[in-house]
Amino acid sequence: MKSLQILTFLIFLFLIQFVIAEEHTEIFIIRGLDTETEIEYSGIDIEQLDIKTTKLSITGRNNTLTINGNEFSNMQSSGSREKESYILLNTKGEITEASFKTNDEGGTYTIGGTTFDVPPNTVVYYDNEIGHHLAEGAVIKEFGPNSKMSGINFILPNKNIASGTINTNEQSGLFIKELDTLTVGTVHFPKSVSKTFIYFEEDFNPENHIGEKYYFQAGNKVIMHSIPGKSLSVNYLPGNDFFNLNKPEYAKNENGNFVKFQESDESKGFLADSVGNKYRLVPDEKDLLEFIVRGENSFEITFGDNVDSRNYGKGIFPLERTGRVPLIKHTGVSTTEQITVIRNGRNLILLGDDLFISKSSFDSQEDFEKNHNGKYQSVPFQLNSPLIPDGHELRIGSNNQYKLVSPEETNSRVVHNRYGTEISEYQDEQLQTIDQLRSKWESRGMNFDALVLKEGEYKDPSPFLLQSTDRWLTENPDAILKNIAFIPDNRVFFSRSSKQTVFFGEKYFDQITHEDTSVTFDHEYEHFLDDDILEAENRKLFTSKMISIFRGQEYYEETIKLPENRPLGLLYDDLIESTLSELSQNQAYNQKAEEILRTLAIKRGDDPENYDRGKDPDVITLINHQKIGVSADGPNDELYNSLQDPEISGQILELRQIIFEETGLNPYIFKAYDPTEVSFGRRYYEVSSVFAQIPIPVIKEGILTGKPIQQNLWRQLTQLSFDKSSDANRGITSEEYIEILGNDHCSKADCSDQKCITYQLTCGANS
Amino acid sequence: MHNKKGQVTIFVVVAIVIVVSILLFFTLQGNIRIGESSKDVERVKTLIGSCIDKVTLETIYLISKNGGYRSPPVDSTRYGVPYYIKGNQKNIPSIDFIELEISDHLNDELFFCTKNFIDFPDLEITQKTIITKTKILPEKITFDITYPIIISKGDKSTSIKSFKHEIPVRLGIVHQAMLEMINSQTTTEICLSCNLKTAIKYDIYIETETQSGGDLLSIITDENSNINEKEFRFLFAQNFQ
Repeated sequence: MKSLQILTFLIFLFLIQFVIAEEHTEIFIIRGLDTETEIEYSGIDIEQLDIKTTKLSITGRNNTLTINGNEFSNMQSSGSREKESYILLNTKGEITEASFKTNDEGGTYTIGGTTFDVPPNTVVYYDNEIGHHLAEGAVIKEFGPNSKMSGINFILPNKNIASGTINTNEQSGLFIKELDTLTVGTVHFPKSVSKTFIYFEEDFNPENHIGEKYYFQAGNKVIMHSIPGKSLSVNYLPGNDFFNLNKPEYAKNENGNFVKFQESDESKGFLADSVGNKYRLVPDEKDLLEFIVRGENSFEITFGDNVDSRNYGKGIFPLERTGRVPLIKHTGVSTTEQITVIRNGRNLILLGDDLFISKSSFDSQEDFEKNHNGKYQSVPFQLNSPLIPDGHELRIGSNNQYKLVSPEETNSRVVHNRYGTEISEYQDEQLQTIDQLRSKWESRGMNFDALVLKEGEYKDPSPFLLQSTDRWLTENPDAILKNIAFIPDNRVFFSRSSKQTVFFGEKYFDQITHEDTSVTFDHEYEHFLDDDILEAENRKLFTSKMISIFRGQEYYEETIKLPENRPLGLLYDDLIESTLSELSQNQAYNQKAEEILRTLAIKRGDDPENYDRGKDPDVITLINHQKIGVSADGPNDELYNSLQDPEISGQILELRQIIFEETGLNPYIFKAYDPTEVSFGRRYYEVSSVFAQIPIPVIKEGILTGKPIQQNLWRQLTQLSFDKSSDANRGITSEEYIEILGNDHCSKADCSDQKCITYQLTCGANS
Repeated sequence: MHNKKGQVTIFVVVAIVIVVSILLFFTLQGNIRIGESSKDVERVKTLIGSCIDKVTLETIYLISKNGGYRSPPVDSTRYGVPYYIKGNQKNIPSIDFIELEISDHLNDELFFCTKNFIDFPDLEITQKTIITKTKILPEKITFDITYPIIISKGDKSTSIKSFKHEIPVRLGIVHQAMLEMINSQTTTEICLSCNLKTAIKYDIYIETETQSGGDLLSIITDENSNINEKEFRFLFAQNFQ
């Protein structure tokens, strides 16, 4: 009896369950010509729109839907949002249109053969005519055939984030349809007039895709391949790790000081630089790298020779931090019609029947930045191409400089924009930011600043300026200069009032002659050293200055007239005055000076045979005015305007040439300052710095073979430079002095290597 | 007797031939005439020779630095390097032109170098116009210098006229390389691989530098030629804007 009761209860429970189920889940069958689609659903309204279309409207809060076993869950109902939630099916039970929103849990759906995860509370939209519109953060798990997906920041099966539109063919192979654009990670494919296949499979075999235009990227390899009559465009965006479109961003404490790297920092994406300071890589928005592969050409890049395999959580891309710059191998058919192009910073490189560089690469910096939205920095790589003879390769640095290197690196016969900075084969030798420079030279007590003096914001000195500075500091390990500031204009100068700082203008190096940039550093450093001596002189003459307060300025002036008290600056002034006097006896100099003054008279309408000479500036003033005039903020006065006249300008150039030939030095040595201003008591402030730019062997040669004025001037400059040197950090050393002058300087044979002959005030002291 | 007379005649003829030959030899050499005071002449010749050595090297250095010009032409960069191409204008100095520029400069500089022979107060030296013919060959530059000088001391006078000199600077090759560089350019592009071929072919180095205002400076360096132990460098500029 008890058993019967239990059995009856179980039957009851079974029946109850059946009745409940009958209430929430129904089955609907769509019968096509030869298909039958079973729809299991609850919370769904089904409506036959027409003979071909069935509409499933999601109405219930706890809806469920399974179409031929394909489950749709976690969908919000129409009532909870403005737009209707529905799925349209055709007679075969295929989804022709779907529009719904996921609930708080998000969902996984297979629509049109493609399976994807959708984040919570986001819209799913599909139309079999226009494809999927994927919400941000949607993850494609598996591509279906003949599908099309578009959206912003959706995730591909290989974990790359994509934006734009991507298609699949019948074999579910990925391609970008003509006129569509796509960005995958930091690789952008602009519009193209033909379709581009893209492959991310590790087992990709190029042999199977010879007739296709494609882009392949997996592991540490990239291939860009085009076919006759087509072109493939690929832009690498800031943040790209393959090509290193990044720059380091240093961690700093609350005082703005660098923070040392610790092991636990690695998991947070930080790295240690060569002195142990902590940094991470961030995208460099100034970098520009584009490829347009045309015709039957390919680029193949295997990243990772000498690779540092650390991965910093930036997608699947490997990094090549401490390795060589990436090597791009170009193969292809040379043709003048189908020219393959690489734009790297300012360099527009063309691969046709030869390797070319566009002349537009040499546009002025201002024009270039304007045309490329502030992107002008190049990205280091090396190009191997059959177009480059004798196995040479094109190596590009991060400063828009390049060279063609021989296979054994024994020479570089064609070099552009070297300015003395190395075009390294290694990634990590190419400084990008001021903080890298600060970190590297922190132990030497160096201070580097990027200052705004006039124009807009200026935070990032160019890699060229940074690398040039780094090089000079490396080559001058004993230099005692501590403060260097980078400025956005075209000036280079030393300032005593700003903590003895040397200022380097960002645009100055655009104007430099063919001289090495280190020469400019040498020049400014000499100003710094002279200023240091001035400080020592002031200390030494302090007593005389104090006494002169009571006894009058004459006392001080008499004091410094004594040979042993003559300040260095005044000795230089004496020397330049006497050189000018010697020059005024020179026939060629006088003829040219007279010619210039006559031309000036003619230009202003005076009688050239009888004009008012009172109107004339002296020719040295003209020369200096012309030099000043070339600066960005040159004077706009009458004299400056007259110097723009080609005839006068040409004559002044000729005069400069004569002065150079006679003195062996740039006429800039005669630039006269107001002694109360920047030159601190000196009138001819530049001569010592100009002389400091000249290498020792050249000085020696100049003294032996130069013209009489040059020989005399250079001997005396050598002596002054030797006299003022107190240690290895400045001036000419004993060894150099003997090398230059031997025993030939003084009238007595044994006076070489005698210090303090001309300058005595602080001579021999360690100031 | 007849034989003896004949022998004397032969000796006289031979002696005359020898004397004439010697005279002819020195005349053709263009150097020494009757009345030579060889020590003084040697002093003057030594000065002129050292001046030629010095001035030819300086001239070649200067003119190569100035892209083939004595002085920078009006159409030069602000640093005095001539534009060979500016916009659509092409202005490349020919070898003939550079030879003339070298000759003109040498004529002037040689005159200044000898300082009107003021270092020879014991001699009376008169000089006429210096005329130099310069020939730029691939591997060297030759100078044919006509420097007419009469050196007098007491009643003796000597004339010196011509000097030949050559320096092993490959200006001809470098000029040819420059032409090939420019000819390989298209209206819109510079051919890097062509420049490399040229550099390898002539064993030279090509460096370009961007300057302000879109100026492109080119420097050809030839390590096979040197001037006073400095590498030989030839400069020119282009502006395509």
